[in-house]
Amino acid sequence: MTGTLSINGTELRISLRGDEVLLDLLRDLGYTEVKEGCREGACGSCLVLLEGVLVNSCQVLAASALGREITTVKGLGTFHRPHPVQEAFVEAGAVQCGFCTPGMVLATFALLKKNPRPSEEQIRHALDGNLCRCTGYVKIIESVKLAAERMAPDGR
Amino acid sequence: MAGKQLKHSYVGKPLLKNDALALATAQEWFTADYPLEGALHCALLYSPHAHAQIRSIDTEAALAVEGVVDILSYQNVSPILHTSAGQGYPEPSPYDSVLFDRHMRFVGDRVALVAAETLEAAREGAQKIEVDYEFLEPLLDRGRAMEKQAPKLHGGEDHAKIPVAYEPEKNLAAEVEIGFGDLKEGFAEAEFIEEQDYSLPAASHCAMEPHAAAAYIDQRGRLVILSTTQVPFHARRIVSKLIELPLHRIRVIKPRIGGGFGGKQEVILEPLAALVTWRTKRPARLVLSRREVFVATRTRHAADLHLKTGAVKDGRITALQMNCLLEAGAYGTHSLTVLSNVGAKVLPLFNKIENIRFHGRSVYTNLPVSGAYRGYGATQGYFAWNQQIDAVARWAGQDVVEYCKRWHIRSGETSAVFEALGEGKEGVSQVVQSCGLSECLDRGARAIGWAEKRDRRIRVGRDKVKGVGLAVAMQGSGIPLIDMGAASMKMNEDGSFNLYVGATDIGTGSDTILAQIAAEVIQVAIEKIVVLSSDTDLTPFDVGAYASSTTYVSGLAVKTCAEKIAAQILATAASLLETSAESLHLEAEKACDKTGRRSISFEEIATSATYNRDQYQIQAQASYTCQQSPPPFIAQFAEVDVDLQTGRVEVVRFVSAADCGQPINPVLAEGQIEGAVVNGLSYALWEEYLYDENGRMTNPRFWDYRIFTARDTPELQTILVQSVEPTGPFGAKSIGEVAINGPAPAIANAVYDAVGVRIRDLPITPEKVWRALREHSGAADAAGETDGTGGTNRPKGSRRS
Amino acid sequence: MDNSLQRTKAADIRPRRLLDSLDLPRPRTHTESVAARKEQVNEVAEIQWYFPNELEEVPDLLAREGVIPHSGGTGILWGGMTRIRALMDVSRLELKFCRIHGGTIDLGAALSYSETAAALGESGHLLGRSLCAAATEPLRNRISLGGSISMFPYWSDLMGPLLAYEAELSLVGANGGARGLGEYLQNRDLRQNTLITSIRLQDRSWQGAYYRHTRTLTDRPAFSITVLLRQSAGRIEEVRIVVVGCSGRYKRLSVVEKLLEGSEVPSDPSELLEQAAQQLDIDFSARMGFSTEYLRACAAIELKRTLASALGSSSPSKPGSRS
Repeated sequence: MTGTLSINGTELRISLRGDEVLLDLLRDLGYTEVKEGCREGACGSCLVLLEGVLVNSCQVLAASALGREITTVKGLGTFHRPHPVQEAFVEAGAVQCGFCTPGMVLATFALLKKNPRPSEEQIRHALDGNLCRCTGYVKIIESVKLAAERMAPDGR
Repeated sequence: MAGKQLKHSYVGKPLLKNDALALATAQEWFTADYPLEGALHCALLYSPHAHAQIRSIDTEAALAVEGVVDILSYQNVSPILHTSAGQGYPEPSPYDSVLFDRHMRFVGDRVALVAAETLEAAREGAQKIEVDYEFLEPLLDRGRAMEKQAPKLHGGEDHAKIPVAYEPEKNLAAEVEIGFGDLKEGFAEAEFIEEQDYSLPAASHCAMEPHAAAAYIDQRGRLVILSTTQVPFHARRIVSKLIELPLHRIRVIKPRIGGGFGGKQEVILEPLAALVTWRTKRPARLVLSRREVFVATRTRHAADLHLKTGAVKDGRITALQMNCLLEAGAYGTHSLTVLSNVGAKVLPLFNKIENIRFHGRSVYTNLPVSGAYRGYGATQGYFAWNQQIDAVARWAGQDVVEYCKRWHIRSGETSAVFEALGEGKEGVSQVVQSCGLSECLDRGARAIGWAEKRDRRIRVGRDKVKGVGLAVAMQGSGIPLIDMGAASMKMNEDGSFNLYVGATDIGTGSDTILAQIAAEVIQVAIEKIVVLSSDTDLTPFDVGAYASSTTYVSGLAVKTCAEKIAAQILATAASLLETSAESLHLEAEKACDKTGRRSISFEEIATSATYNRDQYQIQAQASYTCQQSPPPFIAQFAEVDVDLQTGRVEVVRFVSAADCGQPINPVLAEGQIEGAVVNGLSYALWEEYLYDENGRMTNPRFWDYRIFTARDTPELQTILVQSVEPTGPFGAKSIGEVAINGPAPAIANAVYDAVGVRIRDLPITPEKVWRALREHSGAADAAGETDGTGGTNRPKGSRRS
Repeated sequence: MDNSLQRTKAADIRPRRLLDSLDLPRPRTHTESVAARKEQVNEVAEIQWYFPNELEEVPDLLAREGVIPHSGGTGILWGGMTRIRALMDVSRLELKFCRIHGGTIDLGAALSYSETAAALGESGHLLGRSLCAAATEPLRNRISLGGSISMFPYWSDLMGPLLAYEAELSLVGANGGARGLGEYLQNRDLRQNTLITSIRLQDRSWQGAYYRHTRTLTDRPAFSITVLLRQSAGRIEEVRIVVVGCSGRYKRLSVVEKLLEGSEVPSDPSELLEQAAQQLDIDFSARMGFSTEYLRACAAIELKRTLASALGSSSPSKPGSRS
């Protein structure tokens, strides 16, 4: 089947299989910032924003995303123009191997958009779909707090 | 020396990790991300039987699948005996593996590989391979592995590369025995004997990035491999051997890696990708699924330990006997060295014990393969040992914090164990030259509120009781006389530098701290040091990221190299300033005289040296092999609330106080500790490999193999106690592993403090505590309870909504 | 090696979606393994997708062979895609609504757990609280009410509260109209060729509490306990208790309810709760590392605690909190 997807603001006309999962489609299209960690919806390495909502792209059938907007971590910021959330992660020492980081950044962005002043409890809850084996989550939570401090009330 | 902090400009500073922004913005690539035009996809076919012999393989139907290009199996791949262990040559692990065997030794053993144009075609091809198996009786109980009638997994040409105990006909993959003094006399003298069995299951590293390898042939016809490896140089050597291609025609590059923790200290996928590429002359990529990572890569060694400790009234331990049975699984990779470490990293900690015996064995079973895993035997040993110490201290009526302070090894002291037990061979005698453990104990105890909580059994709400527990540990910094790291540097005309290290950054930040070390010697900002690491063509040798070796071993290579560079800079500056090199020093990217009035910038120096006068390339290289392995020390404290009704253990707070000498980068050092702690907490409470009666792992998914999320993690506190290691780079020791050793025993000791039952087999599940409480029904109602604040606390894991 | 093999384009290959070979069931003998492999490989045609814009289109679509509703899709992926022939996506049918009028709450079946919790006010409503505790954030954003009801896994965090509220479903398709949730669950035929469009709850001023028995916090529950009750003048007027995950998949604890209804609630209700727990007659399969015996013991303990919590709940704490 064919259809259109908008990814990070770019509209693409693509062909896809009916049973294809969004993760595979995105990676095939070159969006390798969306990672595969488990394919079970447990680790959060594959997170994207689908119409602004945080989802596991490995648990979304690509066909159901047709006509919708998808944001990957590169839609938030790039190396040359990083998003404040990404900068906060760097400064707080929250990036070790970096594999979970794109997902963590998106989860943080999604949280701060809904709740610009989250409590520690709310942060842990909002990031509970992001596994990390390197950091113990300590500095990741600090970086979410740092990002919240820095960002304007309505998020960016 | 404890508690001293030396003053530096770059070292000891929490500088930002030099790849952090690239990772946070996904600018960096991991092995599965590299664009490889026309790459073949690979799928593996695994044995569904724990023990079987392949009678025949028929690939006709598989080859007929559209898109399938090549199929590898015992039929077309030479059976070259090797070990997959990423260790120095000659490896201390037995040569008991071939790439494609006919003898299947676990559910998940490799039958065949299919290379195809798409992943679907490769998988379809794999499932169309027809295999005729002869079913063999599996050995699934490590306790019975050495019995006469037990099924045998190895034999024939399997052999040990170095002269060590290896008896495959008895399923014995390794055996280690050391002893001092007179054990019998020691126990005879004892007034108290604690003799117990302890048990730990296999565990998965759960690095977020699954194992992957890619290969291609470059424009000069050389084989290039990109992989998720902690050991690029070992990978190159082993691939060369296995595909029978000269080493100089192979290049191994380590890109960014999504975590390793020992699981990638193996050469598993590289030879496969290499073989496909070499046969087809096309690029190839093999990426494992999470399930395959669980089953078909490596695990922590499951262990049974038996400890017997004898003590006298004043608490002195008169004898310590440690027996250990490790489960190697189907192949013996790392089984000798992990086994040695159980004793080598644990026994020296209390070095005044005169009568010691350590006897351990690693045995083969038809289960997934154990290998290197952070802690590397010390984790297993310390789980048992710390509970023994807790018991002895209690019997002696002493506070265990004070007890440990009294008996631990000190700076200036040695232990006979250092020399007796190395990793696989004899060890190296050493004198500890820095130890801040007493300060770790004091500060950690204060932080957890030890005095207020220990032995109090404070009630929390109606049904919960609070307890605190301690665990102490040491590890090492590299393997003495074996681990070697090297570095080279050159200076560019703008006053910047290129630093080439073989050392392998697997997310730890070694690229950054090695730059910090060089920066400190040369006095230049780390932004001006471009680090290139782990490329076997471009960087000098390094054993790789294991044995907590990078800061200490690779760090000293970098320091030495940087000192040579500094000398050249000074010499050139002296020449340009027409003065002596001795009268100049380096500071803030300049060479200055004592007064500071005469100076010349690095840029001027380098430009002159490159283009203008007495031209030469300012460059240097250095290697370092550690002569000793200065141990980092740690004291870890767990505060738990135990639900008397359900047995659920909630870790409320966890404190780690660590001595890693002078941390090169405190934020990165903390990061290592914090990650290791949370891994240790999950392992203590929930992680284990479960098998059905046929030896098949039943929980190879995060759905069923539970690890902590941010929601589960308790309050963590990390204290860096600073000693000065005189032999280390700027006083540093390593820190990568030691913090994973404390959580399980600290929790077990805390549970005992709370409710008077000891759980000696991991994981410490609620049901185990519940059963133990029912068996010791009097223990929970111990006297002296204090009513806690209680009221609003709710049992963990059971959100009351 | 024959290098002249033609390159096949990905689009030309139509294998079924295959899992890695570790997923294969373990055959008992080598002969069976050969036979098992032959059986597993079968050609499956491309999955057909439908995107209806109006509810009127739904019955016809569902009447076709093998068409299954898709909203979040997590349940479909979980069950494996190999037998799926066609999917009917509900996202254009405007089934994401929350209408509260009088004491009635109507929830569109396509609402995700997160959307439902937000619509109900997360900390105020028991259903919102149970859904907030479930799974993980990105999954809560995707699991839909309708999908979860039609799949009804033992680990559903949705079912307990819905059963306690005696929810009513609106169905469209072969079995259109309003049905009680209990009836829907008991009668498998009602799930064939049928789409749930909305869920109705009668909301009175209940006190309530919800418990989920897990390993780590983001785990699925081995079982859950939902309590709804109303008190007046120090007596329990009405109580509803549902356990999900026990044998039979769920159980309404009517015996316990009968014991409690009409009872006076003393300031220390422990004895009353103990009596209630004694009446608990429930069984479990061993799962998630918990034995049957342990699950039964925990069910009794947590029943008491959940009742106590419900009795005391006026402003209950947020799920996931540590207080």
